This record gives sequence, C-alpha cells and structure tokens, in this order.
Amino acid sequence: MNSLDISSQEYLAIDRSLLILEKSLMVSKFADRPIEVGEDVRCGFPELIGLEAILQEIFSKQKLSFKLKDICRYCESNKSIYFNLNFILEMKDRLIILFEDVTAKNFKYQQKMQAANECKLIADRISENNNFQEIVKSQKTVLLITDRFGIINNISPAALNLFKYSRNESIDRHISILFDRNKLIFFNLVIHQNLEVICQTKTKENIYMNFSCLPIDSQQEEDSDLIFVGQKIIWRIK
Amino acid sequence: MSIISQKICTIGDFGVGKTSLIRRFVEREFSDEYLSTVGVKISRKTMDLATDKPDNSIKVQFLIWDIEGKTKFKGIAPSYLQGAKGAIIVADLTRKETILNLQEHIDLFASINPKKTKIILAFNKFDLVDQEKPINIIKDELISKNNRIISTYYTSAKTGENVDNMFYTLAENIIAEK
Repeated sequence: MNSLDISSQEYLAIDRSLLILEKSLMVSKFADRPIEVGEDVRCGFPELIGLEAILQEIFSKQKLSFKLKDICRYCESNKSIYFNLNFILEMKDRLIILFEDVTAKNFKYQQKMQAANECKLIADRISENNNFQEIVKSQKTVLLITDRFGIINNISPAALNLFKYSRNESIDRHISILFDRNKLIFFNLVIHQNLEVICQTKTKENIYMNFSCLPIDSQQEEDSDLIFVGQKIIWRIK
Repeated sequence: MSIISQKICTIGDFGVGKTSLIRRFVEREFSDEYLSTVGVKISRKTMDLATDKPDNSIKVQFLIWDIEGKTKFKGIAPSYLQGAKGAIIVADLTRKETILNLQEHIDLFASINPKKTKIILAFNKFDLVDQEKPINIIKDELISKNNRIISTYYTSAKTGENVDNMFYTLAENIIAEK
C-alpha cells in the first residue's frame, strides 16, 4: 500500500509525463471534462498547464510540495465548486494530487467579500460625488447611510423593500430599528469589518444579514457618516 | 493543426473589471452586476493567429486565470501566477488608487516569473470617463520603468472596446517569443 494515506481523500496519481496512473472514485467531480487513466492530466485539469516545471521539481525532489488554493469550477448543474490542489511526491515517478473540497468555506467568504468590496466601491463613489442621493437611489444592493451616531440619513430602495419600511419611516430613525441593539455597542469596532446580525423587518420577520461597514470619508473616520452594505446570509452560491 | 496552450493571468485591485473583460472576450457578454471573484477561475479561449508563412496560421489556446482582486486585507496569491507566459494587469479609470497600484502588481508578477514574460496594462471602464489625458503621465512612467509592458489599452468590457485587440496582441507577442 502507499506510504501516503490517501484512503479518505479524492486524489489522482500521475507519472513524470503527467499521465494519470490512478484515480479515486469521485475525483471526476473536480475535473473540467471527463478523465480516464492513461490520459494527460492537463486535459481534465487545465490549471496544470504552465505548472509543468514545478511538477518536475517535485518529481526530482527539488521542491517538497506545491499547493493551489480556491480553484473555482462551474459544474453542469450551473453551480460552482471550489477546491484546493495539493501536490506531493508519493514515491519515485509517482506524484499524488490531493483534492480538498472547500466549497462551503468559499461560499461564505464570497458573500462577505461581496459586501465588503461593494461597500468600498460605493463609499469611494459617494466620497467623490456630491450627488450621493442619486447613487444611493440607483443601488440594487441593501445599503444604508447613517451618521456616526447610527441615525439613518439615506437608504436604498432594495433595503426599504427588504425591511418593509417606507422611506419616511426609516429616515432619521436609529439603525437599531433594524439591528439587534446590543450589536451596536460594537459600532466603532465593526468599521472595516463584517458584521453578522439578525435584522428584523417592520413585520417582525427575522433576517440573517451580513453587513460591511465603512466611513465614507476615510480621511476623517471619526466624524464621517457610515455606509453599510448588507446581504442576506444564504450559504449557497448563485 | 496543433494548438499551443498558454497560461495567462489577469490581476489588479478588486472591482476593476477583470472578470468582465474575460467574460466579454470569451463569452461575448457583459453584466453591470458586480460579483466579486473568490480564488481563481480559469477560462479557455482559442484564437487563430496569422503567421508570416503563406496559408499558415497558428491556433493558440489561452488559459486565462481570473484571479481574485487585491484588497486592503488580502493580496494576490503568488502561486496563481507561476508558469504564466503573460499577464493583463487591470486598473479602473474611475478609481485613481487602482492606477497607482499597477506598479505593485507588475512587480509581483515579474518577481514570480523572472524569465521573459509579457505584460499588457488595461485601463478599464473607459466608457465611464470623458478623456484619457489625466493618466498619460502615469502611463508613460509605467512604460518607461517596465520593459515587459508590450502595450497599454483603454478598454471597456461594457462596449467591448479594445478587448479583443488586447488579448490578440498578448497572444501574438507570446507566440513571437517562442
């Protein structure tokens, strides 16, 4: 049996010519197209094109291992999966590629990054544009702008729709009408960070949200209005 | 006719339009909706390139690595760049800091791929700005400091302006080097 315990993982074994010697039962789910033993591994895994020199370094023990993280693959069912590849020399002329499914982790991370990046993009646009009412109005995302004390002074149509408030009912109200008040103690701490909160709609429906928060004026953070961009937490990718 | 496969990378700050440029080039589509990329997604696109010889052309397949953009908190993973023959380094014309960060991306790519590799700079979202003049000084400085830059383009993933030109220019230069 192999010296490397790969019994519980999906894997491929390849030779120096990058031909597949052996494959685990379910490894095909990570492939770009169907793979067979005896084929060039690059046909099913285009990620390896360009990495030939690194793989030869591993074969010749100049390099102990190599890892590629968070590779995204669209599947037939129109869903995405994410996986890590770990390349390890098992024995002379036999290199093992271990597959690690990191889909769940990356779905979660994608949602957080989406909110954080959108927040920064919108904050930059608003800070450079006096007509920020129009920018907020045109947003398809859940977006709130508060003063530094948490009083809402602008809200996007998507946010109104989600929380079931009218514009008049939300403007000049404290953001605690939406958030658990206890979370607001951390107001200063959450700037630049993601905040997972349970929000409540006007009709008392609970919604799990991930918010990203940034000061609009990064030069004067303490006095700046704050921008919140939120997403419903659905740990599934589109 | 054989196909030559080459790995290229698109890198830059988050939200500059890397995914949109690839989508325009590969799928001929564009969406205004921003969806942040996580990790890396690889797309394939085959191009016919004309050669000097009569009745002869080369098929080049690009493996285009769409790499998660750099943020304040997370840089670009060097392992993604290894083995690339070229890079399109993208900035957003509406965000000056993404232009100022180009040198950092050039340095990273060059440090991982010290051999002769080709770089194109894409100043994207050209459809959203009135004129190109304000960045000419920065652009000229980048070109003068980095001899791997073979060309620069003002691009728009939305309208498709210069997108095909840019990818074909990179392909021709990579093949010419072989």
